[in-house]
Amino acid sequence: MNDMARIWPIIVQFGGGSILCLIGLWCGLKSNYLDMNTPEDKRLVYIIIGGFLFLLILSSIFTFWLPNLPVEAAQ
Amino acid sequence: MTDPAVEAEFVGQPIDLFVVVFYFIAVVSFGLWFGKYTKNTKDFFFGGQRFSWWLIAFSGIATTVGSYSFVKYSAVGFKYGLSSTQSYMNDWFWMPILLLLWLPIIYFGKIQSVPEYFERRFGTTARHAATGLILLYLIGYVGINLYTLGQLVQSLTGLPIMAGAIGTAFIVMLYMFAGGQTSVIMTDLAQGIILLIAGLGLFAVGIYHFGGFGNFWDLLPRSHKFIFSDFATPDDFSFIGIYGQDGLANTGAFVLMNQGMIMRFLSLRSVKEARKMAIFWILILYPIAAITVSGGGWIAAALVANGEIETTGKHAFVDAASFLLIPGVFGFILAALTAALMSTADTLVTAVSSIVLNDVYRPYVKPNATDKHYLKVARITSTCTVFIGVLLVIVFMKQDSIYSAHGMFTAAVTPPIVSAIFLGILWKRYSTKAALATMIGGGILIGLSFNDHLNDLFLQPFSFGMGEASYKFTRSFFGLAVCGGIGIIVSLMTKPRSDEQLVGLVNGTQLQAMHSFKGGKPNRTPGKWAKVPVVVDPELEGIDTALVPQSALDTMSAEVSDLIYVTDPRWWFGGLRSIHCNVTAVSKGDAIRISQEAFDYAHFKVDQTVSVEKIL
Repeated sequence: MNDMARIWPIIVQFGGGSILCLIGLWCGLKSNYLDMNTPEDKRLVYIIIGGFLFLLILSSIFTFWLPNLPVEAAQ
Repeated sequence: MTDPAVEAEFVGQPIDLFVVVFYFIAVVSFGLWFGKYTKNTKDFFFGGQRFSWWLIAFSGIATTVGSYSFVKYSAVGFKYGLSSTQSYMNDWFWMPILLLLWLPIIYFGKIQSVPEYFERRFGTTARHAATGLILLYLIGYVGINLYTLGQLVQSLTGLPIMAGAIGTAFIVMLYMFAGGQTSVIMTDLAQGIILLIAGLGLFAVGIYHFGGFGNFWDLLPRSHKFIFSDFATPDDFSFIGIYGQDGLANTGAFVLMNQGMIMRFLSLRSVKEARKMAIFWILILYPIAAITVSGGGWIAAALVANGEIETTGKHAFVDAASFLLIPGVFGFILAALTAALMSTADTLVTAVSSIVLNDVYRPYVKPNATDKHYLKVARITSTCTVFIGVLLVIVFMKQDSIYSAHGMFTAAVTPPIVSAIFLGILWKRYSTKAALATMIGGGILIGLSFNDHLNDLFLQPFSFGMGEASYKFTRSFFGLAVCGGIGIIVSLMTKPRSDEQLVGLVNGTQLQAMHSFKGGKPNRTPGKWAKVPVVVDPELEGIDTALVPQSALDTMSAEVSDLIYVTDPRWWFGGLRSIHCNVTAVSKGDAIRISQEAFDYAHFKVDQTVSVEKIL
């Protein structure tokens, strides 16, 4: 069972994080420094989004799943 | 203060001591050997700007896993469990701002330090303010590092603090004097690998000891199994407090104002390499480093739960290591502990030396001197910085609360400078007066928040219902809010600089920065690496010109006047044998032609083949 004291950190961490990521991506796109026609720059955007999702999944596993496993089940 | 030598004695076996001494000798020899690659100030501060991403990533880990990390995070891991990793998991969100805005500005603008950015963006007064604040912060940090090193050596060997501090300072000074950043990078590479092996090794041995991860996991209390601590409890380890202090202020400082890290980024051969390095570093090495520094504490908590040892947070790492490991291997762990600290100290010393030379000596004491002279001054400054650091250890030994004083200073300095850089790179409207008001006004208000009569008034609204114990963390929210607020309000009331003055210094001008870096239109057409023989052309002069065969230009999608990177094709050199050149013409034959000076600088061998990449 999860209470909000455990869920708020994920909301704040990834909510605040998404704002920072969007600011950075906006800067890259607005200035044309990030050229979405080149594979290299396109890959960078995918990696930034992928890294964000990877950390979100990792945090969720160690918040909603593994801490709640019954002791016997983990053995 | 009681005699430390009476209180402590060596915690391992003689063979452990032998391993530690052997390690010190190896580090010094390693650093001295790489000194031969340092021939000018660009080499001394930026390693010749030629390294590969993986080399800088591993050496960067040794730098960031530094001051007391093993002891500190093991203690937190022992007490709170997996949430000790929080500080290592919030850097990724700053990556787009670093890679798409700040890095192009400093790399293409050839900006060597944060104060230099302040001068170009805001003017001379802002540079003075930033230089003073950052130097104070860095020199104090060198002293704290050496003091911590002394304490660590004392707790491991029984030697007095000063002996440990002087001994390790001397080692750092030796290889820094010889090779500057190149030696720092190469020794930190070795130290980074050693401390990752040591920390992960201890964690793996612990898991093996318990008979598998499942058994280890079952031994941990449930409260230890969460990756985040509770949102607003306890006061001194709440998620929101750590998020404000570490996720916003400290990581912002790490990305935007950490001179040591800026120098590492500028040591890379290209912005493309900097992207690879940052991604690998933050997404792969950081989580691994989090396990490395915290794992000892988690294992110690499980050992205690299993009734096998008794320990406290402060001693969790060393006690778990000495319980689980055989003599000799334990010595390796002790070497890793000192490695973590030494690799932070050397980076700080280079950073101080860089700021003193580039922001004080070069512009104000002796402009227009030869590079040879500046290199000499850089070496002397590094040595002096180490001496000042050692002198500070004497002062710090007499202060009971030096860590908290240093923490207060850091908390007061970080939000103003981070806010000024953040607004400066993001917002053209942000004016010089606003930057000064942010640094001075914000710094004063944060300073006032340490007053016992004012702290409730200032910090309570930012503390999410927590008590006074949370202020140490939530002060960052207050600092960022007041600095940001002052910056925005003053900007709206004052006149910004003209667009011409902001070229290459603010969002929207990254492409112009690339243009001026190259001295012409950047070539961004994707190309491949070319492999060609390299020969010396006696008619060529200068270190940065090259004649390239048409076939290689076609492979790279490059043209005459493009900037290229020529390197030894063996990847494990990490770019150590390499050079940047401009393509001045198409060469006849199938070889790339460079001057004798460039050939020697790059340490190429006669008749060798090189790999060539187009940079811009």
